[in-house]
Order: sequence, then structure tokens, then C-alpha cells
Amino acid sequence: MKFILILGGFLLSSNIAFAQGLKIDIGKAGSKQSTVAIMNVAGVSKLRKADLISQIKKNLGFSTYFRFVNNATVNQLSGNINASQAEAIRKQGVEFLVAPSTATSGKKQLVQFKVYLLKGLKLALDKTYTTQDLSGVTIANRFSDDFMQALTGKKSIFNTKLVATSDRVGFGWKEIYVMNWDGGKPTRVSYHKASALSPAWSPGGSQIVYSAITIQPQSGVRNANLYIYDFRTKRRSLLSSRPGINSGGTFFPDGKSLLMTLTQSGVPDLFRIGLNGSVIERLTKGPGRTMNVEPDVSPDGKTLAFSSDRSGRPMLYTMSFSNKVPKRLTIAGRYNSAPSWSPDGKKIVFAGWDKKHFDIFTMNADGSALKRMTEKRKRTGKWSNNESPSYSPDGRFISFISNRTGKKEIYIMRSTGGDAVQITNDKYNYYHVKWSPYLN
Amino acid sequence: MTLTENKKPFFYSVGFHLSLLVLMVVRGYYSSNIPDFERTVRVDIIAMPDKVQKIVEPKQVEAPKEEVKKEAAKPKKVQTKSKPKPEPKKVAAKAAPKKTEKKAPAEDFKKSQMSAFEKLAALKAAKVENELEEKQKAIAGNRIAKGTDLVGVEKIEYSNYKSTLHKAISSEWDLPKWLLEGDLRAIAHIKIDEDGNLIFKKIVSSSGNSIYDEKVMEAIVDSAPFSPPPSKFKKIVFYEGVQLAFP
Repeated sequence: MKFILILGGFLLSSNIAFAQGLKIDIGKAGSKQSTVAIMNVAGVSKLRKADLISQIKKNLGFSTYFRFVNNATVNQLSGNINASQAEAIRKQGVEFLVAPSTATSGKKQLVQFKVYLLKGLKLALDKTYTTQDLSGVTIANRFSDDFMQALTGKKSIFNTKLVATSDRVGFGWKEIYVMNWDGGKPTRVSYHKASALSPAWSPGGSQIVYSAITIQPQSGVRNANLYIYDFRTKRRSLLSSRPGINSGGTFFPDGKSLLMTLTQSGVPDLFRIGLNGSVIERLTKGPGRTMNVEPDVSPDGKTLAFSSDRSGRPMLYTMSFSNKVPKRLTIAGRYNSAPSWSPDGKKIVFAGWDKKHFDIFTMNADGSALKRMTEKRKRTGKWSNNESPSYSPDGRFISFISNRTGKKEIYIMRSTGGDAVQITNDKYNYYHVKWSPYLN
Repeated sequence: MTLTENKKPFFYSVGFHLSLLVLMVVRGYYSSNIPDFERTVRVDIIAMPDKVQKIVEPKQVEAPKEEVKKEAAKPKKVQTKSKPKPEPKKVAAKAAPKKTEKKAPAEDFKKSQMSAFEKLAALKAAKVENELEEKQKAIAGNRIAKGTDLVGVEKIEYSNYKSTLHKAISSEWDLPKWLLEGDLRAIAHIKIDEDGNLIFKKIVSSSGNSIYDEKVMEAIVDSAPFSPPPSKFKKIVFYEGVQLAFP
């Protein structure tokens, strides 16, 4: 028996050995969108079914991978389907069928999604979610992310969030707001009744660090102090309130320490601090009275990117934590600021002042391959400012602030370039947007 | 453990090696006269060339060549062609001029005898040269063989056929956009009969994604039947098949 198996295996493998005649590289495939149809939501619950479906269509449509089909047969269906129904729908041009159902359990709403690949009637996804959010948006975002991951093997932006400061509250105050990837459901998280600045996410997304111009407890003087807000406890804590600037807080990838800007000797320099606020290490000192600000740590935790005016103008630098020798990255432009690493550590995105306005630029981590990502005029014909860029956790998008409509709004664009999509569209202004890591 | 059980592995081994032999013989039979698709220079390794160089070297025998020519016409070809061991020729060459210089009419017999000796020597030399030539053939060094590289019309036919297959399959090669961003690659093996019909298809190197592999097979099936292969390649695409890399 073993012999037969061995021989069989050999004979099979000989097919490969024979395949040495003609060899053809077929090349890159053409691309097409997959067609998706969504069945009516079965069952009864307080969930707003229309919002649920609408958000799913928005998400999957934004990916550009899918095209939704309004199929009469699908509209009649509810619950499970059999093989003959699946084949009939497939022949009408539908590739994926989403079958949602819902139920209420106490205060929670249950939603189950089954996604069928109609060819061969394979179940691509079967997942049940619970939520107290009756709008259905949260569930739609989580489902969209799971659906994308089931097909592509990679997480998407749909279950991520953006943090930004905004003047939504009025009185000239700027508070911290967190919103969905598409600007939906903006939620205020800071209540300083003051100007909050430069929020940044912790590696797992459970905390944000930010600065706010608040009264310094010891001296009673208004000061830019550094705070941490924890989404799990919904509490904030003061991390650093040293005299002068306590700003530019950003977490190390391991979440155990932070980088920040302090003005201990009268000029801003970069320091590494612990989660209790104590200084672990001073990273820059001058030269002279030059400033070193806006630190961002590379995803591998080995390199620091920052801006400094040591060359006379604010330019971008990187510095290895091991040798602490700054390397100038940008030479072009009059003013380059706000460097932010791509998730793979290969790129840095920043805002550069050129032609009397700020635009978003990307470059390789060594300063090569500089590329302008934005250039948009306002209705008045003047150039708009595009600032405060950050990468999405999948590296496929960049969020930024632009005043192209007259108001400072949040936009996202593909990291390869192209048109930007406006995420916020209201009468308020937004500043310092940062994209979250993947959230659970 | 019985004796029969002990012999089992031996029989397995014999069986396996016999089947291996059969397989190789069959493969050798079918793959004979199959052209190489990749341009190559084939070198037949016969022997190291050092020995041949030593034999070819001596050119000092050229001087007596003319003498030998005069008196032994037959060996002429041999001498100009190859370079034998110089000794026999030298003997013949040295002897001949001495006799002509003396011009002794009384020694005609001797002369004719000498001439006969010279002839014999020359013939001997020619014989030696022939032997050497044969030896040379036997121990000739690495040579560039004619090879099986495609040239002329065959090459054009091959290029056209490859291009036809590529065009047919790539026109059916579509992927969902969500699969394009993954760094996936699959290799398929197909066989085609003389009329261009697809007679065998198999993924020999999977992408790891079942849908990607399915799309590869779909592209192959949807692009068949193909154009009939040119006569030179019928055997190849039927027995050896075609390896398709996606992308």
C-alpha cells in the first residue's frame, strides 16, 4: 500500500517535472468590482435597519471593491437560502449575498450576518454582533471590517476612528472629539473649556494623549499641559505640567513611554517620559537656542522623526535612538512640519509650506521620493492650506485638515494620491486630526 | 518478524526503482527531439582538451614537408592536415636532401632503394598521423554542439504560438479588485491536444487563496479551445504541456 502511495506521489509530481516545455507569464489581471446584494433584515428589534444597510453600502462602496445590485429575487428573500435559489441569483449577476437578521435581548440588540459566495453556495462569513447603539452604524462598521478581512485577509479602516480638536462647543474653545472613520458620530472627550491641542492615540487605541492650555496647578499660570484620556475608564489624568510647553505627546509603539516637547531651558526640546510623567531621557539639546518639536516615533520604535529650525528654517529630521545623530530629511520648501510615519515605516507624510500655502507631502523615510499629495484652490481662487496629515493603520489612506471650503474640515485621501473625500461637513473647524490604530 | 516481512522493503525498493526506470524511459522517448525554449549554447563535455593541445603543437616539421611532398605525394594531404610526432618525418627529410646533393649516378639502385625507404618512411609517418588523427577524434575536448535552439521559421512559429496563448488567456484573466492588492501568485499546468483543445489543467503552485486559484482555472477554461499548435510543438504541448504563471 505504502509503495503504491509513494509511486502515486512520484507520478503526480512528475507532472510538475514535465512542465518544463513552454512557460508563459500571464501578467497582471484585469480588475472588476464584485457584485453584492443585501437581503431584507429578518427578525424584529429596535435597531434602525435602514441605517444599518445604508452604512454597510457606504463602507463597502467606499472601498471601490464592490458594486451593489438591487435584485428583485433577493428583495423577496429573508432568512436562509437554498442551492437552487443561490444559483438563480448568481445567474442574475450577483456574486455575494448578505443575509442579515436581528433580535432583541434585554437592552442589547443582536445582529447576525451571513455572507454567501453564491458560486457553489459557500459561506464567506457568519458572525453575530451585539450592540446598544440603535442606529446600527457601529454594527455596520464592525461587519464591514470583518467582511473585508474575510475576503482580503487584511483589516480595513471601517472600524477605526479619527481624533481631532474642534471648535464645535463654541466660546472660542477647542475640545477633543473622536469620530468614526467617515466623520460619523462625533463624540466630545475633553471638557477643559479651553484650547486643546495635538491629540495622539496610544498603540492599542484605548487612550489618547493631548495638550490643553489650562491653569498650571502649582503656579496658577495658564500653561500648555499634557493629559492622557482613557476611553475604558472615561477619565483623564494630568501627565506633565512643567513650566513652559508640555506638548507634542506621542506614544512609543510598546505603549510604555512617550515622547514630548518641554521647554526646560527656555527653548523647546524633545524628551522621553514615563507613563507617570517622569523624564526618562532628554533626546535633543539645541544646538544653541534652536527648537526641536513635533516628535513621532517610527513603528519599529527605533527612529524619531521631528521638526527643527537648526538649519535656519523649520525642516524635518530623523534621529536613531541608538546613536542620537540627527539626519536632515527635507531641504526644499520654506517650512516643513508635522511629520508622521506610515504604518510600515517606509514613508513619512508631512505638511510643507510652498507657494505661500501648506500642502501635504510624502517622502521615503530617508528623505527621497518627495511627492506633493495636495494642491487645491478655494472658491476665491486662492490656494487652500492642507495640514496635519496622518496615515490610516492600513497605510492606504491619509487624513488631513484643509480649508478649501473656507472652513477647516477633515479630509481623507488615498496614500497613493488622487482626490480627497471630505469627512466633516459642517459650520465648525477641525484641527490636528489623527487616525487611530486598529480598534477591537 | 517473518522472513517474508523482512523482504518486503527489498521488494518495495525493487518495484519503485523499476517504475522509476520505466518512467524515465517513457519520458526519454517522448521528450526526444524536443527543442529548448530558452536560448542556450549546448556544450558536449567529452574530455578535457589538454591532451589534444600537446599533439597539435609541433610546427617545426614544416621544413621537411616540401621534401616529403616531392618524393611522397600521397602523404601530402596528411602532413598539411595534421601534426604527427616529428621523429619519422625528420628521418625522411634529412635523408632525402643528402642524397640529392651528392648526385652519384652509380648509386641509382641505392637511390631507388633510399627512395623506397623514404616512401616507406613517409607512408609510415602518414600512418602514424592517421592514427594520431583518429586518437585526436577520440579524445577531442569540449565542443559546441549544434544544439536544439530554435532558429528561423520554427522560432517565429514558437514566438507566435506563445503570443497567441498569452493573448487568449490574459483576455480572460480578471480578478475581483479586493484580490488585486494581495501579493498572490499561482502557477498552472495545462496540456493541449493537436486541435487546440484543453485536455489537462492543474494548479501546480497554489496562491494560498482558493478564490484566486479558482479565478486562474476560470481564465484557463474560458480561454479554451486554443489555436491548434504548430506541428513542431504538438508533441510538446500534448505531453509536456504549458506552464502558466499568474501574474
